[in-house]
Amino acid sequence: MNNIININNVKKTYKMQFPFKRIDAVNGISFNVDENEVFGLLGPNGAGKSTTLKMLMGVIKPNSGNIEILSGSIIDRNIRKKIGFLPENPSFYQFLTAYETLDFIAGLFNVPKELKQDRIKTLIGLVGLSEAMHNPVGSFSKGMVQRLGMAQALINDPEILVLDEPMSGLDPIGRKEMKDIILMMKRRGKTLVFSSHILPDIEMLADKVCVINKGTVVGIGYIHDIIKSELKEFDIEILTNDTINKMLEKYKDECKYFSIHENKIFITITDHIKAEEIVNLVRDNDGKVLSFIPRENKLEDYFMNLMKD
Amino acid sequence: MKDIFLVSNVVFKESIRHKIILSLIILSFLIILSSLILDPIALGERERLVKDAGLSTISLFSLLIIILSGTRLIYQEIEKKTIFIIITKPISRERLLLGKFMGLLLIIYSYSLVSSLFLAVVLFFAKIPFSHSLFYSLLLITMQSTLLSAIAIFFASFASPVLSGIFTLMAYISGQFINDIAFFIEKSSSIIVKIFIKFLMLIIPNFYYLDIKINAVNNLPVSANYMVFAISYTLIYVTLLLFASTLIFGKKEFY
Ligand SMILES: Nc1ncnc2c1ncn2[C@@H]1O[C@H](COP(=O)(O)OP(=O)(O)OP(=O)(O)O)[C@@H](O)[C@H]1O
Ligand SMILES: [Mg+2]
Repeated sequence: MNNIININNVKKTYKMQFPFKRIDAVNGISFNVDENEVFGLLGPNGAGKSTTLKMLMGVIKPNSGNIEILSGSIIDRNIRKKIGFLPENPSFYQFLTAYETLDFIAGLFNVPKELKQDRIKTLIGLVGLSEAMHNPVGSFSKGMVQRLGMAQALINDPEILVLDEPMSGLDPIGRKEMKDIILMMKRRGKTLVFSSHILPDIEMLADKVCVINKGTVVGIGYIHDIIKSELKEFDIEILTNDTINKMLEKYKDECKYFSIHENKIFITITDHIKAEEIVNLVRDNDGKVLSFIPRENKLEDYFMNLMKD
Repeated sequence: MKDIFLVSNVVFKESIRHKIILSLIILSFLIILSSLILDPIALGERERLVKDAGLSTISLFSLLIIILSGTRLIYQEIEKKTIFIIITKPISRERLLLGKFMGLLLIIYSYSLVSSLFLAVVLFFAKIPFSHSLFYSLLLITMQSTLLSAIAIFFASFASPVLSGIFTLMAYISGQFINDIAFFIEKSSSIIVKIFIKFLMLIIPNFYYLDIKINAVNNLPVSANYMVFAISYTLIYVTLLLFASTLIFGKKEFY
């Protein structure tokens, strides 16, 4: 597959004037993004996600390392033409209407006149702002501004879409709509890079996830590999009797959790063959399996594990 | 070229929808109008009074509008973070800055035009002739505004609105008096002081060149040569300022 974004050992230190301080926001981050991939940047607050995306978009310059996008540099205006960007907490001119704002930005991209009006209206409809189209942005709620932010990122029908916390500030319907837009863009062959600290969002949308913490990459991989590689667990609840109690003694050490309460046993075990043996044993000896819940250890565990060290 | 125009168009739209700017414009019209009502002290003074009030008001309010809208133009983009949207689009930083400058000119030229027309109407009803030198004076006020706009953009490219407002005002005031001070110091014998003043005269924009109100008020002729000199002076100065501003702005990082 085609690498279209290469970030190579990039570092950024913010210098604050008052109080005088240096903050190492990004400490040598590297990753690649393939064509038509949905790439999720995951990390806690202050991890360096926005800083990384701002460097990718050329808003700030890295102190060292290099970034290649579409085999060139973001400084090149022709490359910027092919990219859509939604900054974190986007902000617009307060006195312009949503329509005027998109018209202005479409103009900067040189969107042909005959396409412009239709595209603006379609996008405004897509992000659900049709009714507020001719209201000044200054009167918009946070979620409405976020929606307009998404619309402006799509105005040039970009090849690459870079979204910094696309779902922030949105209500559940808005979140769903943004997710649908992201998935639609993926279907249309676009490449997406987005940041989030919300695990289910990453899990649902991303093909590949890059976990960063304190300015470094602490884990990177395809979502399906991560989910597969993490072991499953089984929670078993048993209605027991003395025979079963005795027979289960030998499994005690294999269990992650094992406890007896009156006539019930609660077990958590990772080995699925042993789990089946236990179930069969209980049934053969007049016991009863009250519940058998396979629990997938998903991204959350992967993420929590990475954050521990 | 088109993207510069787009940016200036947005600056213009944003400004005219701003209540403060609109109130300033209306206030200046009221002041010009009220000069008619003032009772002249001596006969024949009325013409001078109305002209003087008109020119001074237009000049002063141009300054106010530039300081209010000009110095905010860039800093506000950074403060409110609109810059992240604009700067990641395919427009170069130089053009963005030039667009801001053009937008400011658009505002201030519209004001110059409308207020000059308003003054002309007032003069017409007061039966005061609209002289050549009055026209030239208005033209040079527009030049003064052009220069002030470039100064405002220059300071705004690196300082906060309050600071750049103060800097712009200081440049204006020192530019008003630089000739007087120079004349005064010329008499001092110290060579160091003289060199220092010569240097100041070189870098401080000399607004004195652009102020020919006296000619307009007293109906003294202004030569075409002088006009060519004053306009060239302004244009050269503006070009240098814009060049310096784009250099500073091009290197800037936005947090
Ligand atoms: N303008 C700035 N000046 C100084 N320090 C900054 C600036 N912006 C970010 N930082 C610091 O850099 C670090 C990384 O910040 P960044 O905004 O990239 O985090 P993030 O991963 O996007 O977090 P969040 O999830 O909260 O958006 C933080 O420690 C932050 O304090
Ligand atoms: Mg962030």
